[in-house]
Amino acid sequence: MDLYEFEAKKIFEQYGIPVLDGVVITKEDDINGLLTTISLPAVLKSQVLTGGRGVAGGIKFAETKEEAAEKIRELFDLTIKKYAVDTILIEKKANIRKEVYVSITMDKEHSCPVFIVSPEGGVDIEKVAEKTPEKILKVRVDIFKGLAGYELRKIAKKLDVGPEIFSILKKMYSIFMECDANLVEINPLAITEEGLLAVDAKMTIDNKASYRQEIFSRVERKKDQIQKLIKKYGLSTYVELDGNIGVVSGGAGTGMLTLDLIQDLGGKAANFAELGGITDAETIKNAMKAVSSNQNVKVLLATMIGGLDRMDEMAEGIIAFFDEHGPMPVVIRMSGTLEDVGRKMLQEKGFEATGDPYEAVQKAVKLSKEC
Amino acid sequence: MAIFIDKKTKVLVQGITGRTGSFQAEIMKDCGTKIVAGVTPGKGGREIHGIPVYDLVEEAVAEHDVNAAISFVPAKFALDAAYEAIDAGIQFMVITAEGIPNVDILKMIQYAHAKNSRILGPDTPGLISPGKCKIGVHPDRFFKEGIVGVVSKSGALSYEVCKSMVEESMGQSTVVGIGGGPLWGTSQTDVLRLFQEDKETKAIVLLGEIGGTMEEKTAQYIKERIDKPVVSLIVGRSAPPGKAMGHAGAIIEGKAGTAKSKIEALRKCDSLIAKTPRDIPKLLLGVL
Repeated sequence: MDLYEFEAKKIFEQYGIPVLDGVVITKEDDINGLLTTISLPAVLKSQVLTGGRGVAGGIKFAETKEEAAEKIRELFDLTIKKYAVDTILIEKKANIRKEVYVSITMDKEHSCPVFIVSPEGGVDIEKVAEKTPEKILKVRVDIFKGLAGYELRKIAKKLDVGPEIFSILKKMYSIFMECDANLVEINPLAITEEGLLAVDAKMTIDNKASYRQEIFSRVERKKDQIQKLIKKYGLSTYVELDGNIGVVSGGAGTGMLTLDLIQDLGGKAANFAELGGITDAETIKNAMKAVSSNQNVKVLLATMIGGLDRMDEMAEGIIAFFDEHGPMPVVIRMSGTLEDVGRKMLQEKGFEATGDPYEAVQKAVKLSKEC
Repeated sequence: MAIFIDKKTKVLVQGITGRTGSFQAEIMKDCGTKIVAGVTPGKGGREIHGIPVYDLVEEAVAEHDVNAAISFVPAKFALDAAYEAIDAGIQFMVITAEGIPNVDILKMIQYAHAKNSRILGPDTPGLISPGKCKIGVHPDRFFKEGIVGVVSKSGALSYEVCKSMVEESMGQSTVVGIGGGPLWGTSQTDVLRLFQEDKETKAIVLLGEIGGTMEEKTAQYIKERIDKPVVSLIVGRSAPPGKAMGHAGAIIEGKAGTAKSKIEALRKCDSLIAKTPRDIPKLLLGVL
């Protein structure tokens, strides 16, 4: 889950990373009342879960309260990369002398946290990495040793800042490990007359840790249609595409294979649901309900190769789905654990199931073109 | 010969009394794996399918010779179970759980590394050396003893490919599932290095998918270190950017992680490229 800047800054504050006092305003708030509490000159920052808000006009400055009120209204009319602005963070404008980039993220190759820092702050770090890779320093952290003194000095030297950055780096590391963060980014970290300051803040929290991170129960996120569907049907994966074949597969790898085969044969998938780990009749019934709820789906393609999945249970779920839903074109591929039992159950209800994935995809593509 | 495991491997099952653990322990035993003990806290003293159950791993290893473990412990408790197995001196561990927090995965991988243990997974179906040993959940009817080593991120895709191979009378030395990512205790190159050393393995099948840069690095490794023929299949060619296709690691982010980049890298580094599982036995026939 991505955090808004103001949410991440609240965590920074708890850990003692210096941030400016801010006021959060939403569309529903009494704007004039809140404006009496802001410090001037002020910076007004749209809170959106996407990058590039500065370029999109999502950050404005105000010298007076009247100017602030006017610009707040302008920001609330703004949409940045399909995200409508409905929350604004107002902070006092800082006197910045210099800006640097610091972040800590997951090094997937070495399975450890890695600090990525650059003296070029406030800009798109990926562009810096591409054009001037020598301006980027990566420091991988041994999680059992922790962040060593010499590593802190190495980072400070690269950034050309004093030892006052040490405590910020240590706190970022603590947040990363304790809050199940997969990314903690300060861009820019500003050197001001009053010392170092996290001017922006970006954090991503690991969804897999939702059971132990209380922030998941505290912050609200509007669920989009797809997330609602995933929740409603308890799906492990659901992806929308733009064709007319609805795909249900037993596993992720074979699901991707099925989508590739559909494309090779000139068909187009409308969506894709994968059953994931432990399955039963209910799992596949729900997956078929979810997939068929998309109006573009003209043909259903269920493809399973069972290790853990039992084909008798899969057949039971498919039959239960059609009992509820009524008839629609379907192609079933069944292979693996108890496939003979499953196939027989389907036959008794008038459904055919092939064991061959290619034949199944071919049939589905053909049917999809007749619709 | 096979890699990681063989006929002599003695296996401990963590989480043996759970629904999946007890079901899979019985199947592994039936296909010849030497399951010597099981562990579930608070369930010590029982037997499951004739396998003695202990409260602690250290109690099990005091009574039995154990060289490998498979964990069916749920994600929330998987890190603790891994620490327990590592501290009991077990040097090869298969961790099946899906949904373990990334910070816990970092800890288990780093701790195993420091203690000279190896983790396969997490989120893996495990591995099978057909006819010898299986530490995993593979349906063994799709596999057959042979000379091709297979490494795969996805479990079901490896079943699909091995089924195609068996239909053409082609068997496998070892089939290793490394897991769906985005973090791996054992990488494709770790497995390839062992296949290169293994006398019985005459060719290698690499089953990859979109997301990350592992296949690109593996391609370079193939060029530099592998002289056995390699056949690769990358799934997710048709996947749109920005959508995780079922595995946490299977997502195209910006320019990185596309099937095209992986296929090009592998082709440049002398791997044969299969478009679908059916091509794999054909391509293998040409090189064996």
